[in-house]
Amino acid sequence: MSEFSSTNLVGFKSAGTITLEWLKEFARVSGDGNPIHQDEAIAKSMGLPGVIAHGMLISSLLHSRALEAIPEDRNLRGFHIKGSETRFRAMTFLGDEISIGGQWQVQGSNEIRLELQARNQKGETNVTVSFTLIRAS
Amino acid sequence: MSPVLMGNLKSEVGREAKEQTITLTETEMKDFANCVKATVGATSHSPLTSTAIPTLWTIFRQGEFEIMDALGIQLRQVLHAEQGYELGEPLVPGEAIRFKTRLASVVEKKSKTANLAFMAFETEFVRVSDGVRVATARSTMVYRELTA
Repeated sequence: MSEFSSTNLVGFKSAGTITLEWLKEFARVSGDGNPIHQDEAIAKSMGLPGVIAHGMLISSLLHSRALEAIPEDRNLRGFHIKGSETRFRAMTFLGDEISIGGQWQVQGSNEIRLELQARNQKGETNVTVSFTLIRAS
Repeated sequence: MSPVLMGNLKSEVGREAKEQTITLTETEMKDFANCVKATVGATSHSPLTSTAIPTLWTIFRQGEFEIMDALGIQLRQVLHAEQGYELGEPLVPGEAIRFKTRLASVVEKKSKTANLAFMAFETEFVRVSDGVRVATARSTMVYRELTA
């Protein structure tokens, strides 16, 4: 795979700060009622430092950033997401400030690989998504 | 869950959840999009025509939950490790979707504090009206049995 060039960057933008209210709303709209995302005592009983965000909330924020970036960049316009691979690399906690950005690279005449990452306020990467974009037919 | 069950999870590979059919309303799809800050109307295929962002398929995880429940695994004992989507057609409000989830593989490992089982689930989504496969979801969930 060739190197990304500096012109292929998707700038980092804030996606918000994780709150308990936000996690409860995501549990409602997604149907994921895992209590480690809402109840600190249960989270700690499972060996976690505290309540952690749903991985799919962060993944969804990354997908939302991708959908925003595609029409913004004239090189990406006309492409759509054919597939995505999310890797949950580290936990996201209450109070974490999430920002999302990344880069893309042409894979062929009709395919682009878009790599986005979600970082916390310490600059640590929590979640990454690799998108396969193809030209809309 | 007992260590015996942890050791037997591999024998459960191939287990299937019951087939289900679900129809999402426009309100449900908009609520999801708003919660995850998708541009109003954003979709994987056309940024302006529907509210079907790719991760909307996470709403259809009942099959994973059903299989884990049948194996005696509580949701609180699992973490999400990976999630993949192959997308065919975007979800449309009011369209009936049929899906079935199966446990595709199990890999067991040990860490300093837990016995771990990486359970890979695969779910195929089919549009009821014409039988077309509209998406495939693959998720890897980590079941943790604390040892320390």
